[in-house]
Amino acid sequence: MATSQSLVSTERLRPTVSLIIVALLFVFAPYILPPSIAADILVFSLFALAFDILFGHMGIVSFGHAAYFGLGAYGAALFLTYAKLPPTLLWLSILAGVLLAGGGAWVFGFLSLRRSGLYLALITLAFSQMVWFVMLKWTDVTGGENGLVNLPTLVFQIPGVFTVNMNSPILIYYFNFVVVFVAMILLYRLLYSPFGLIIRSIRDNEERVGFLGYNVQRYKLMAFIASGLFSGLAGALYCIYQRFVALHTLDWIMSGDVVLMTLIGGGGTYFGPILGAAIYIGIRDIISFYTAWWRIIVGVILVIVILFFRQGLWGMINTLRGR
Amino acid sequence: MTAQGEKGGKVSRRTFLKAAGAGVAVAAAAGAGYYYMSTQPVGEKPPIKVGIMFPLTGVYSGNARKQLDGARLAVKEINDEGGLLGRPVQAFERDDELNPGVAVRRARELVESVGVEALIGCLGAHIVHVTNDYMKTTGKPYVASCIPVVETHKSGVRGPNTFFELPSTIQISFALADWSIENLGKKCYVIYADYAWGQEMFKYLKRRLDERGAEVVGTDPFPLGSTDFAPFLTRVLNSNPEVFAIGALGTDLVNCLKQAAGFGMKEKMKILALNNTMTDTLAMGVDVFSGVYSFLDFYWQLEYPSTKNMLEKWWKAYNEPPDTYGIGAYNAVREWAAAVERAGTTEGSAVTVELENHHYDWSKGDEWWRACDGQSIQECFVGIGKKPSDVKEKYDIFEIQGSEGGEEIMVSCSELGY
Amino acid sequence: MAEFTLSSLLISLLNGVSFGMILALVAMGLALIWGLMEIANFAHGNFYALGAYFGYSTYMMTGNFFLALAVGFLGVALSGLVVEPVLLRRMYARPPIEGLLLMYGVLLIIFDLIEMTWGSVGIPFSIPKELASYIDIGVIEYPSYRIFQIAVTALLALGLWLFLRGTRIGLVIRAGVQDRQMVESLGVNVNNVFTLTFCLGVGIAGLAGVVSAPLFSLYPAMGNDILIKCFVVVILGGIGSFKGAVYSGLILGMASSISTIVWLPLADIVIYLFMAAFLLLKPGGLFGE
Repeated sequence: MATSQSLVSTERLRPTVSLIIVALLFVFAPYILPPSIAADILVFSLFALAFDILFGHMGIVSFGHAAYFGLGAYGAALFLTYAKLPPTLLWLSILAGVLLAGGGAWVFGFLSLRRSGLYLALITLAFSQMVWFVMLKWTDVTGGENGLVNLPTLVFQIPGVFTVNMNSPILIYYFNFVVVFVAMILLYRLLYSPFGLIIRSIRDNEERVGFLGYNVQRYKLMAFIASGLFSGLAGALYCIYQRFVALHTLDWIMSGDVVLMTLIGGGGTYFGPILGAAIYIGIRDIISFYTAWWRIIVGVILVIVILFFRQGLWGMINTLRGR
Repeated sequence: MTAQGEKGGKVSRRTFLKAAGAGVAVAAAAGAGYYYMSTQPVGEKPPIKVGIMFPLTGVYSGNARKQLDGARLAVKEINDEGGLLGRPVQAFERDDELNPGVAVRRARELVESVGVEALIGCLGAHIVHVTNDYMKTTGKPYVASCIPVVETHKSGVRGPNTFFELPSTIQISFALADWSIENLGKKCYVIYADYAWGQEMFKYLKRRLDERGAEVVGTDPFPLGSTDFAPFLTRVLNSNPEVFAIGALGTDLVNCLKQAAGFGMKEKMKILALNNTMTDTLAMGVDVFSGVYSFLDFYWQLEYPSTKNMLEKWWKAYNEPPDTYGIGAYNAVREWAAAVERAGTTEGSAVTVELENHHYDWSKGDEWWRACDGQSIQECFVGIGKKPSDVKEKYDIFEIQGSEGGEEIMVSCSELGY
Repeated sequence: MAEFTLSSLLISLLNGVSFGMILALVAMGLALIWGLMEIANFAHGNFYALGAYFGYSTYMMTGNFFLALAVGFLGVALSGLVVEPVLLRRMYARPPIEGLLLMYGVLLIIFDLIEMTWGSVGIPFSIPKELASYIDIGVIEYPSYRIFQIAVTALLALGLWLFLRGTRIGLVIRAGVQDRQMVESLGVNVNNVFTLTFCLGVGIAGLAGVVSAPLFSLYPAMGNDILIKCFVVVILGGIGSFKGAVYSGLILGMASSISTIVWLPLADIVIYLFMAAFLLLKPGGLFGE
């Protein structure tokens, strides 16, 4: 496990280059991979990065993170469905999703953080399931199992200069890419700022950080909310790309998925979650063309990773590179 | 857990990792390459690609496999008859896992990467709903081979090139109501699974029963996945209806019927299952359904010449008689292809024009596509489960009692917003 | 909402006991494993499912329901023999959350194994003919299989209780739940005790699976459905508490049954509210420490 000091000093040298490489990979992804798989990897990379704020950097396992992804997706969808606004203002739906997710993270985080470890994980699971049931039963508003479809497309316009109607998948993909890229940079700055340092210190030795005079609970909650906000952003973008929202964005399988991605890729590192998202989606979507039994493959990988490669793939790569 | 071994160990591990990484990259590239190759045309004339998608894993996989059979048979026949517009038809099969997210993902992949001209399939109203929404944006034909909910039919929701081969919840409910009033009785107790399909079946059943002078003496929704129907069954018994209608599927239906039989209800009243297929009955146990009336979209013992024709073909190909969902998928593929042939192009709106109001008879007598909402208008049958002693051979499990059909069992176009 | 006739109330009561006993039985195993080994066995539901499927195959092959019960128990217990020493043992030194994550992987593996072997479609399991009649209890006729099931589960619970109270191993397990380190320092071979407890715990879940199969039918996801409910039972009843599992299992079973006649659309949310509330306010559960 790398110390926070080395994270700040060494990972800072390479990241600009690495970030550019990642960005380029995403730019060309729709032409290398089937576009919908590329879009999924894009969105879920963000989700995994958001999740990793808690998982890798804070050492907290949330088993109900789908709640924030789903709230982001539903928030955006509900806004698109019910807010009677001109198309040029529909991009606000993303904000709606983010805020709804952030709000949820604030409430659930506040409650969940009163416990730790296993209990915390189970509480987050319970909350996530509650959100799932509300969305399921509130059929009039959320469409229940049908979800919300028929969502209007976003339009970007600078009057007199240009109008872009986001009605093609490629356009939406690149729009998502821009947003995700900006979010990644923001996340990077967050994680490798003093705030991030404190977070990781809390992970390593909570008591000591408390003795140093920091309000540990407050930092935990801030990290939780930040994680919720970015997860919500991922969810909102997912909804925009898919042009519909359904319950699978909220179920415990989605929660489990993001844990898997982050674990396999490597928590606590910057590129681990991105790698994990790519690997997991690659397995799930590409392997399932050849066999229906992709779950057992994922299960075996998970078991092996937990037993032997707890730092995940990227973590392992980092360790071998001497970081 | 650092990897600080001796220098020698570290180097070899790094080399190993590099090699492994390279190997993985090569494998991935090869995989992606293979995948793309497999979507490129084979042979001289570029084939016409069509996507077929069903929940091949999961709780409906039994019926989904029949759908796959039907679609494959249709494609094979088309190709044997010379292809479509002189070109071979190439089907791309996908599993939607009964999950809306997966369904849209696969549909997208079929349309955008593989380049299919049309999408056929589905099993599950919520799947049709989201797939229809996506296909709307592509302009390509989508022929759904399962029971849709009314919401998907409505003006503004349904894509202009979406068609529904199997009857909708409305047609089934209206048909059952009409037939049941004639033949079973006028006092009816209805229980139904408390989710979209069940709620809708109940709503339209009750509406028709009320309209036509029957009396709904009681209703109860039950939670999906219920194992315990005793409380509902005692209430049904207390109300003493002539007809006991059950809006349940799969294990819910089995549990309910088994428990009802235990209470001696088969002798006291007529029991009507609001949906059923031969495949499901065989899986759930023929004895469970003996004496029980069910809605059947199709049954291999129907008297139409086309049914006998279908039976022969299907038996030859699959060594068993055809059933509801297999027929649905078969019809869907055949109709799409025939429309393409008539239109002279695979282009969406042209195909749609050829489908609208077109009559066809591949398997169960005359059916036709209603223009306003793409719904196939057809006969809905009622069968009774045979007593095990009357069953002559494995598939001889129902006796058709009657049917209702035509546009009378569907709501008007204007009611759907057209 | 429906009328509360005496007969429907009585039936609901009995059904509540029936379902509650199954929950209690499955939860008992979970509670023991969790209490002694500090592993929240997220795959517990799938061991229950596995047992049901083993029992089904046995019954199909031999027609002997009691043999099916035995195989359900033994088969799953044996698979526990594979999982515990090979996988789980390495997790004891680690924070419990990692054990949960590992068992999530095991959940995925067992799920696919079940689908591979028995298919992904639901399989109905008929009640064995010998047990498929109705007993007249005054106002109502109640399925004799349910009576059988209640009796069997009660007997098993009793047997487990006697085992825990009356045998030396049972004593070690109970002591270990209370204070694992103390037991270790007393020189007991903790590894074996853990393995035994795990196999016993999942074996009971498997047995419960066979017993409930004729009532609920078999389908691959059956484990997931009961898993969450059992977690709630254990959290309410208290981790490691046998008594807690029984009581809260029965309570939850009754509540579930009553909710079918007093139709609460929000019944499911209430379960999670309770789960969260207990975790937050009374993590020891009703009977735990």
